[in-house]
Amino acid sequence: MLTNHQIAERLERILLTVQKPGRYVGGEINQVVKDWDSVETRIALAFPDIYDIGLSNLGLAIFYEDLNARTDVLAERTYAPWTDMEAAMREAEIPLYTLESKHALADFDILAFTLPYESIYTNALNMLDLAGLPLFTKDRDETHPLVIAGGHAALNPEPMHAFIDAFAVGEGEAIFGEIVDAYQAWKKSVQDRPALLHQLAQIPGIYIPSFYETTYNADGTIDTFTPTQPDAPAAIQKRIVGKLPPPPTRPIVPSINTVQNRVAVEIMRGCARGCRFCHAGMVNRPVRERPVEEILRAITTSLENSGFEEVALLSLSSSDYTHILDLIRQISEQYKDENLRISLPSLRIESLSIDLFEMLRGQGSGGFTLAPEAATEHMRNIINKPIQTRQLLDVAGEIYSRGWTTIKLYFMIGHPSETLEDVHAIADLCKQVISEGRKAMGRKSKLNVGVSTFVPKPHTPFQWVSCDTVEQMREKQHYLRDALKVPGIKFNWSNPNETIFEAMLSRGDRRTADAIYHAWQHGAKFDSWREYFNHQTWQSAFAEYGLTSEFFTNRERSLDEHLPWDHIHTGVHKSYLAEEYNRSQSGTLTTYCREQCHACGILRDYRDLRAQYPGEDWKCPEVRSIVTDQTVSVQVEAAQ
Amino acid sequence: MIRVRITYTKKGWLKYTSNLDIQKLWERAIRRWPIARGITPSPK
Repeated sequence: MLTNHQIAERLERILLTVQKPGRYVGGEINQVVKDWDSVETRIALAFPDIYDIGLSNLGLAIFYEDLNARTDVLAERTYAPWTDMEAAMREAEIPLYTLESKHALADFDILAFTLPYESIYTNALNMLDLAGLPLFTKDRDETHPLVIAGGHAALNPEPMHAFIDAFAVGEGEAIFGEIVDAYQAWKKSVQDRPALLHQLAQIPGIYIPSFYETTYNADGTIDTFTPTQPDAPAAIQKRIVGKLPPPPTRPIVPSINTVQNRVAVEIMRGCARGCRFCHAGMVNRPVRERPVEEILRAITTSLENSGFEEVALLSLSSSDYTHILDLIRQISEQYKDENLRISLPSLRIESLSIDLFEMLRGQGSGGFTLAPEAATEHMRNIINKPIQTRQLLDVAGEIYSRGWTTIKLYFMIGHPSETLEDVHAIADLCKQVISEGRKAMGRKSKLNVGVSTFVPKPHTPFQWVSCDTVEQMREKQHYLRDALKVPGIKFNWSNPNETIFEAMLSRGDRRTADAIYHAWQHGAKFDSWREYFNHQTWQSAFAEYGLTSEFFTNRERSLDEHLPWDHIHTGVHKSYLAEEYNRSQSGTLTTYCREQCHACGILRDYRDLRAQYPGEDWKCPEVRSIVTDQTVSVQVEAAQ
Repeated sequence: MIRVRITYTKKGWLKYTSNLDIQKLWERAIRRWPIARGITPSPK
């Protein structure tokens, strides 16, 4: 394997032959370069997409700062090289390396992948291959880095089970330190790789896929999923932090233009709204908020450390943050002379107020994004996103009248029980919205309509329902394309083949791993990039292993079917998801859980943690007393 | 209006960064300078 100096020398020969060489050199403000030989454990943090996208990933930024805060650890970054760079690296025989020290990934102790979405699985395989590492966990031993993964897509880890040694289920801040400690203890004991995996299996929230086996019924459904090792738990419970740790404040300032150049501060984690299609909303419970003072301190320090001119207040639903008006007022006052832009990427129509509009006025005359998801109240009741059409139109009118020229509206087609009338209503509603714009600002008003297709995600109340077929999607999209040929409206839709591909991977079981490997061998990579997604390659890969979309995506599953992700527990119980699914079928709404606790399971699973962190940070009711292990009832106070 | 003329050389790994990106880096660097608070740098 080449040394880091040899890699640096070879890079000099190829960098001028590729696009945007600045992606591959590191050296940015706030990067951390530690003495390689003075630390005990070296970790490569890998994002399986290009630098331009991965740099703004908040999870990676959190781990980078957290891990580098330890004196015994160094953490460096690596991203997927774009295809021109990959070809040049392969030709020059340069292994994949980290940006900071240019060490090959094979020199590291731990290689940690972030898997936020399924379409980057082949990139992860490609990165392992470029690093010169065996792709399959069974082919790696103690001479190779431990390969771990986490992130939202890893909550159904089975499609990647063959390639990852250990999955971290849940919030990385709660678990990464323990992984490092276990690794260090194992290294000192000079044992083999299986010994390390056994030590890791003892950490709550760690899933070692090679310690389990699956059997199947004749119809292809899962019969059993059982541990093969006595020390492997039957189910893996998601780990969470009781209190959000202070946010990272030394953001890496890229030397080239990337997708998002801004300070990002997470103001709240989790969402209490309970939209039944929403994966993030279900798996990130409970809701925990950061105090205003801590957010302000983080913004001040991050801006001083970076020179960025924009701050994004991140959460799944920023307008639901209890102190949002106070926070924006204080930021606006503090930076009134400095042209600081405030960005609120996720706003709920129900919690937008005139006061908030007034505060955001002048924060950019470009776009304002709203996501009603469905256009009829009947459908919004099914998905549990109860927005009144009149309310949406009023909000649109307020937005246009305050100077925003463009509204972006996001809808989904393919919801359960959807009829063509629900699809027609999308076009009608869009016309009503642009008409509000015409009233407020004439022909300057624009409306961008994005219509994606619903994919039933694991761990949601809709995990049992089927996805639309390609033909159904095309019919609905065709109608909308014609109906939305209206001046001022721009319509975007998703490729049905890409939707089916996403559904196959997100709902897949262990057999999907073979198809992923096959597709990668036949050139699949950058599958989230439209110009690189190859439907034929994936079709052949799925067909090669007898995996059909009829079975994985277009089949309604019964409530008692053993689902591929059943052994991963997110805290929201399967019985609650089933109850919510049944309520959706009758169009019954479940109220905002800040108003009333619906006993989703979070308080039962994390009762000790809630008791340890009483007060306002959590938005779940207080736990009055910690009950014994033998009983499962929890006494809760009524929510405020 | 304060005018500052800066002469610089791109060396090391930074030579792989484009001129437009370097201009942006300068803007951010000036914003990080404590005595420049409130200044909106615009390179020409």
